[in-house]
Amino acid sequence: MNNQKYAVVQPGDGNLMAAMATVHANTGVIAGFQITPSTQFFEHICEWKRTGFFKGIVRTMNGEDDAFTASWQANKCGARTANSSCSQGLLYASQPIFCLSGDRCPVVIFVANRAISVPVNIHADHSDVMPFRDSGGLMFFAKNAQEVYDLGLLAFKIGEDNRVQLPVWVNYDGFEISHTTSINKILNEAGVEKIRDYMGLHYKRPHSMLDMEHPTSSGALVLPNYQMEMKYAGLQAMLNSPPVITEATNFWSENFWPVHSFVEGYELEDADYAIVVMGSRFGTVKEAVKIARRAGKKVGALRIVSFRPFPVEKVRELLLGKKAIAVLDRSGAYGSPMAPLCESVVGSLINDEKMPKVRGLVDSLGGRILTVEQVQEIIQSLEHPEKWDKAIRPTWVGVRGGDTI
Amino acid sequence: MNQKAAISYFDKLESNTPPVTIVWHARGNQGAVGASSNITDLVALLIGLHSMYDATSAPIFGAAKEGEPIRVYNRIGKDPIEVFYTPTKLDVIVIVDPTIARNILLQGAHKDTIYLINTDKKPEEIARELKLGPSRIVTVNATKIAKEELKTKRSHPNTAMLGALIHIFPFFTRELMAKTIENTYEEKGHTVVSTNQKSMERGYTETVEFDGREIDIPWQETVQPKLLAWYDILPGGAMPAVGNFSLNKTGTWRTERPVWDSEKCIHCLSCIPPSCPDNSIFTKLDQDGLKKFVGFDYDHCKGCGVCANICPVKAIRMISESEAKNE
Repeated sequence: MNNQKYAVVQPGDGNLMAAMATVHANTGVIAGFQITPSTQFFEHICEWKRTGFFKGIVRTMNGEDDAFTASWQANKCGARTANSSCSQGLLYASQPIFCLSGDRCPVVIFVANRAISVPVNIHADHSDVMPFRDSGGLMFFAKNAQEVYDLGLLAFKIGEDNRVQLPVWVNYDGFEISHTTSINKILNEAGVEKIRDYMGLHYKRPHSMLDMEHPTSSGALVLPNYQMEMKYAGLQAMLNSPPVITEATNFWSENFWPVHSFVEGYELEDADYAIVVMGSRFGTVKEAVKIARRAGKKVGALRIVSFRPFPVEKVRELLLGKKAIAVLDRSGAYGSPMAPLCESVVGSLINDEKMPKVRGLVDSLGGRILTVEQVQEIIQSLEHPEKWDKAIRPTWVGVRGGDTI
Repeated sequence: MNQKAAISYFDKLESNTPPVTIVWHARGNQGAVGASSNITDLVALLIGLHSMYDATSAPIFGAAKEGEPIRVYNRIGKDPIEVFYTPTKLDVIVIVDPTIARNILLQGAHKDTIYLINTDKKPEEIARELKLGPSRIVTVNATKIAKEELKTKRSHPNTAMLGALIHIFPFFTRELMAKTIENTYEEKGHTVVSTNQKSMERGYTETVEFDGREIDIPWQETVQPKLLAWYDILPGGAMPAVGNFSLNKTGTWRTERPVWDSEKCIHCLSCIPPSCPDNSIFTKLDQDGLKKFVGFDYDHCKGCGVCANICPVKAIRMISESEAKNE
C-alpha cells in the first residue's frame, strides 16, 4: 500500500467491488437486468439507491436488450453509465452492445464471465465475452475482486477520455471472482473525492444529444462511401487508448496502490518457457510455476490484463526469444486452428525469427477446475515440442477420454 | 438506326474482353429493377444450358424506397461474370427518369457511351439539356406508351424501355423479349402479359435515333461529390447541422402529383398527417377558428397518393408530372 491515507479495508466479492466502483465513479444511470452470476451487482445498486448511498438514476428493465439499449441512449445524452451482465444476457443484448463503439458511447460493462448454453451452465468461462472481442470496445480481464474495483473505476476515466470515447469491459470470472469474498482495499471519502476530481464529477460527452446549445443529430444511415471512414475512426480511437490507459493506471499507482495496466509478468526475465493466461487462473499458474522453479526449471507466467487493445509491444518484449510458450484459453475453438487468446498472442509474435514455439490449450470451460498438477504437466510438455499433438488445433485439458497433455 | 454502332456492341461480346455494362437510372417503383433482371432472364433464355454468354443484374438502393433515385447495373459478357463491384465505366446508360440530377445520371460515362432516354422531348433537345456530347442517343416516350397500353394507376415505363433497348443490343430479338415478358408476368394473367408485350413492341417501333456527332453538343465532365476524410467526421457520425430536413427537396422524387378540387373538398382533413407521411399539406385557421385545407407543399410531396386514396369525396386526384407541366 503506497498511501494509507486514501484506503480503507472492504471485504467483499467481485460483484460488490464492481458495484462499489460504479458508485464511487458517481455513475448517473444504471438500467439493469439481473442474470447469474452478475445478479448481486444490480442488487447492490438497488439497495444503495434505497439507502441513498447511490445517487444516480436506477431503472429495472424488461431484459438485457432493453437494459443495454437504455444504457446506450443514456450515455448518448451525456450520463455516466455502467451495466452488468453475462452469458445468455450478454448475447441477448448483443445488438445494442455492438452499437456502443460505433456511436462512441463509453458505457462500462461489468461481466461476471459465464459459460453459454447448451449445456446450461452457470459457471465461469470466457466464451460469453469472446463473441464481442471485435465489437470495438476496450476489454480488461481482472484476476481478483481488488482488480475489479481498480480497473472498474479507471474504466470510466479511460473510456470517457476524449481521445478514446469507447465502451470498456471489465471481465471477472463468474463465481470464482464474482462470488468469492476476499479482503480488498477501496477508496475512503478523501480518495473518492480525489478520483472524482481526476475523472470529472460528471461525464462530459462531446456532441451530447441533450446539448441544446450545440444540437447534433446522430444515427444517420451511411452508404458504402462513408462506412470505412467511420469504422476507421473507431479503430483510431482504440489505437489512441494505450497512452490513456498508461496515464490512468500511473495516476492510480502513484496516489493509491499499484495496479497492473496491460500485462502482469511473473518470473519471466530469465525464463525459457512461459504460460500465457487471463483472469482468475493466473494464481493457479503461478503456483505451478513456483513448484517448477523449485525444481530448477526456467519457467514464467504472463497474464494479459488488457485483451483489447492487445498489448502487442509488451507481449513481444516479454515473449520473443523464449523457447516455447503455452497459451491457456478459457473459451473453445471449433474448427479453428487457435482459440481467441492464442490467436492474439501468435498474431503479436508473428514474422519474427525469435518467435517461440506456441502450444494452444483450452481449459476450465464451464467452471471446470484447472489443477496445479495439470499446469505442471503443461510446463513439462513445453520442453518436448516433438511430442505435441500433430493436429493444428488447441489441445483440451482434462477431458475424459480426450486429448493428452 | 445506326446499325454500325449496334454491331460493334454485339462484337464486343467476345472472350477475354470485359463484359458490357449497362446502368438503369430510375426512381423506386418505375420497374427498373424488374427490367434489368429481365435482361438477365433474356440472356438465360437465349443460351439455355449452354454457357455461351453470362449476364447479371444488381440493384443499388439508398435509404428510401418509392420515388428515390435508384440504379440497377447489368453486365453481359462472353465469359462467366465473376465480379460483383459496381461498374465504374458504363457502356450503356438507360435513363428511365431524366429528372434525376445530371451528376448522378452521367457518372461512369465515357465518349463511347450510348444513351437510352425515356422522354417526350426531341433527342437533340434532351442531348443539349443533359450536355451529352457527341454520343449515340436513343429516345422513346415510354411513360406515354405505358400509360396508354398498361392503363395502370402508376406509370411503369420499364417494358417500353426494354423494347427500345433492342436497337442497342440487336441480339435481344423482339421474340426473345416477348417470351421473357411472358415468363415474367404470366402469373399475373394473360392481360398483363399481352399489354406489356404491346408496350414493348411500341417501345421498339416508336424509338427515335440520334447521332450526337451530327451537331456540336459540348460534353461536360460530371463533378464528383466531395467526401470527408475519417478525421473530419465527428465521433459516432454526429452531424452538427440539424433541423435541415426541409432543405431536402423530396418533391423532385415525384412522378405524380396530387391536385385539389376546392369545390368538392369538405375540409374533413383526413388527408393531413399521419395520412400524409411527409407533412406536405398546408392548413390554415379561418376566422371561425376552424382548420381548413389550403394546398400542397410541392417542394416536399413525394406523390405517394395516400391523400387521394383516403379522400372520402374524391376531391384529390393524382396527375402525372408531365401532365401538370402542360396544364
